Amino acid sequence: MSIIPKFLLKRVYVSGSLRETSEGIAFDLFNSIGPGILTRLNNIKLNDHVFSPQDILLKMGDKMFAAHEISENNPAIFFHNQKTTCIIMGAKLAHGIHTITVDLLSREAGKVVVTIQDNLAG
Amino acid sequence: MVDIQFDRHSLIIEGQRTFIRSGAMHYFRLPHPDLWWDRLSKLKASGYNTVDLYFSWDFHSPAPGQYDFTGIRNVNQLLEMVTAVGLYLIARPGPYINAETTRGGLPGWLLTEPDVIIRNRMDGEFQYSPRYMHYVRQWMDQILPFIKACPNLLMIQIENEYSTVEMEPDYMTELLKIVRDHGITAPSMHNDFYAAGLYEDIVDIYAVDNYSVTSFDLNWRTFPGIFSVMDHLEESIREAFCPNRPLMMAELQAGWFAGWKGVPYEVIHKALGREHIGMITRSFLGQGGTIYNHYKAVGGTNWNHLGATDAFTSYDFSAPISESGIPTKRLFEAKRINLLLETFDLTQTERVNPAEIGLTDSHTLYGVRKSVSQAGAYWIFTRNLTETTQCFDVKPGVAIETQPYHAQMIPYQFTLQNGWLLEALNVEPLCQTPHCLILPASQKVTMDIQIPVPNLIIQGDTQIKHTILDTNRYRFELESPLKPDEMVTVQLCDYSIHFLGGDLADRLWLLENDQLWVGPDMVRAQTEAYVSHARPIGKIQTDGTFASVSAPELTSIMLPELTDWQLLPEVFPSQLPSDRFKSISRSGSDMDQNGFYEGAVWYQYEFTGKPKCLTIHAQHIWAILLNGEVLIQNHTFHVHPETGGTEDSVTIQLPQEHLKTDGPNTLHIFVESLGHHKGFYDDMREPRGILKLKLDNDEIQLTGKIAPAALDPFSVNPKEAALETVPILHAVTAFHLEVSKNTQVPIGLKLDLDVERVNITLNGVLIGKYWQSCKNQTVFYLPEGILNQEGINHLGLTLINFLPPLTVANPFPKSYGKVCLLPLREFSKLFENFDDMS
Repeated sequence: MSIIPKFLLKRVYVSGSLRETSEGIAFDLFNSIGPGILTRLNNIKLNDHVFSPQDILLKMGDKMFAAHEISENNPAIFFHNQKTTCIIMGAKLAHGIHTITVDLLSREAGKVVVTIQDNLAG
Repeated sequence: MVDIQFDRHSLIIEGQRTFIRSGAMHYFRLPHPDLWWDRLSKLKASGYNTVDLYFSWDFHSPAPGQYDFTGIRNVNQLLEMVTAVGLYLIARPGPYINAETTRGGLPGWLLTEPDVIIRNRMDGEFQYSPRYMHYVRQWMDQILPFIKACPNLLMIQIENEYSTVEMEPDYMTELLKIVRDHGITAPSMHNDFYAAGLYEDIVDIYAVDNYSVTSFDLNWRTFPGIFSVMDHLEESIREAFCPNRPLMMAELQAGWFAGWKGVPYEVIHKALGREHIGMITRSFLGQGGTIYNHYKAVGGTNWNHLGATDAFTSYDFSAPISESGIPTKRLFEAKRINLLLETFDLTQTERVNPAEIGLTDSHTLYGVRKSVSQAGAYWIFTRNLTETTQCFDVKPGVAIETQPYHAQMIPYQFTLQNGWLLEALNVEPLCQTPHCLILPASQKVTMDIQIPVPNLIIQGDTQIKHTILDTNRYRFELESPLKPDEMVTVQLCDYSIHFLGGDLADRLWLLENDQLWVGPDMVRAQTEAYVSHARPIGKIQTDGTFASVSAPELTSIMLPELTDWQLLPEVFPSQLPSDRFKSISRSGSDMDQNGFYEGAVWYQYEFTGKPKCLTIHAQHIWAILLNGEVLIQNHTFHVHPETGGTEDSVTIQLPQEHLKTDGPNTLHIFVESLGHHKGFYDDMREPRGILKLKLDNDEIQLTGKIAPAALDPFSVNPKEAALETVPILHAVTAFHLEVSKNTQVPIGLKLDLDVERVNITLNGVLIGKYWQSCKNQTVFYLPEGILNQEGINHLGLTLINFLPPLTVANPFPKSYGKVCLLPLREFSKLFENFDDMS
């Protein structure tokens, strides 16, 4: 796994972005580190519940990806200084503090696991 | 030791502001001191003033407490050469260096030493390991005295691209203390991979690495934001972390490595072109940087077992100076920048609003910088990331054109060395001396200049038009681009302006005492020049005239055919002496636990009964023999641990007819490691050899034996072999070379064989590995010094093919394909001493 300092990973998650949407639960990531080529989204955990790529959509700029379509041969580009919205289809959360873990693979950094807490406001 | 000071602009060496133009070279990948001298002198001649050297702990330490600094490991000799050639030194002794070396340059024995936590880090978390630091101090005690003794030491790096999850400073602080306790006072630095200020408060010079192109299925030229990190360097890094020290690029991308499962070098060369090094370097200069290190500037070879898992034999890196020492177009592009920086001062600049000189923002105008050292002077930076030529006027009549995927740095209102004011110019100059200015002329050139000489006499080629703008103010225009080998001059009293076509601009060399030579394809050390193509060659004299010299006759070398091969079967493992095998360690069956840190091994197991299947997990290339019959050959190989399957086991059915009913069955398993991971992902401890082995659902008790597989074509006893087919067969021959001292001809060995694996041994040295399943390298450079260019050479090819096994009687190479020598480039010596030609 790539050794990314925690303070940098915290910059990747947009604090306060956790929210309910008509599709499920969404939050934002912001790539402040550098251009990245995403080759796999392993899963997203909301607290203890693991969501597979089949349950996840990614919105990068004006493009929407199904996470399970991302692969080494069909990578998703995470541009520098670009926001990406992760939408977990059908997920529901109570209001309050939650732990979010994003587990992905990029060509540059290898396996990256980002774990943060955010508040789902009422 | 040189006196080094610094401020926010640059290093100040012996009281002189100095722009550092460094190139990285791996001495451990150049297996002869002659190659060190050759590459160092080519760096110097190409305008680099500094060499960056990793020092590989693994290369010098075969066992705990044992160190070798002799022969091709003679660091003292290496550093004396650095000084003699006239280069400064950036020293990077690690202890971890990455460099796509096996285990990132850490010695194999370190992995199995008890209580050692590599780099004080476990799964990203800092965990201090006194035992690890004990060995680190031993290494530093050995290597630092050599570094300290180098009078040209400029800087020293601690660790390499290091970080932990919580960013504890302890390890880095201790490394720095070790350096200082050895009396090294040169500025310290560390290369921050994330450009986020890591350890900036510990080191003297804060430095970052920048690689914008590491994937080759995407076109960098059209990738949005490809240089985005670089383009924000000044605003995000300089102001935050370098208010009082210069901005340094510890590793500025000058290529990339190819590997077993990646794209071949042909793809990398084409993808990067010569444009990338030019664009990324000029972008860095546009950010106000004054220290850069091209990584790498010199290619090398993963001879023996140097390389990590993700790099095959050639570590050419698509570097400006190739693996075989050939100057490439990327070197010519780097040289243009180096020569400009040598003769024009960019050590003190500040970014300004383009409106200050009447320019408006455009996507081609990268920036404008004001010179601090020369009042009123500016630098205009352009960068064109489109596929069409882009233009804008710097002033009426002077239009800067930037070619597609090119960048330029152009002086504006700049006083030349002779005191004349260059008002405006539309191309990036090549260089200047007190007697002349040299400009590239692959496009139209326009120049406005003040010449305070009354009754100026202008003499020159009719292709150069001049207009009098005002008193003492002139415009010179070359309205049509010159042909690549063309040169024209305008003489202005005792000052000359030379315009060079593209090929001549690439082959401009600025040597000691402002000697300017045009035409040679390769120059070493200020003394030797070589040509490989016919073109005008000569010296630009101080009076502006061009003194031609005759080019030598270009001859083609005749290389011998490789014939009279002797075929020698490798002894079957069942025939190996019993004392060759030793019991497998109780700690594990993997190679490291049994003292084999690289190469290949044979495992031997015995079992009774009639199991139906066998399951194995082995890394990397392996084959299984049951009672002497080959069952399978395979490989388990991946570059990222996470991209491999979580379970890399393979299950095969055991042919019941091969099983004995009247005694124990014997398994022989051949496993070859292609190196450890380089450790970038904390994965260098991933074991090699057999990791798991079981019959049916039972785990076999690991009480087998292990022996090294020598694979040495020159230690086979012909009398031992009496087999018709074997999985490992050595083909040996000898050939004679007589390469003229008046030429430089790097030579390669081309393999086109229908054999799964081939090891190439030249004069006793393993210099290459060929793997048919990853046919990314078929031509192998034969390094001079190993290759005897004036005499006999002994060549051995170890052919490894388990299924089907190799037939001993088949003629070689005819039955398998082709093997031949070929010249990689031919250079004829122009002369050996520039002074003699002056």
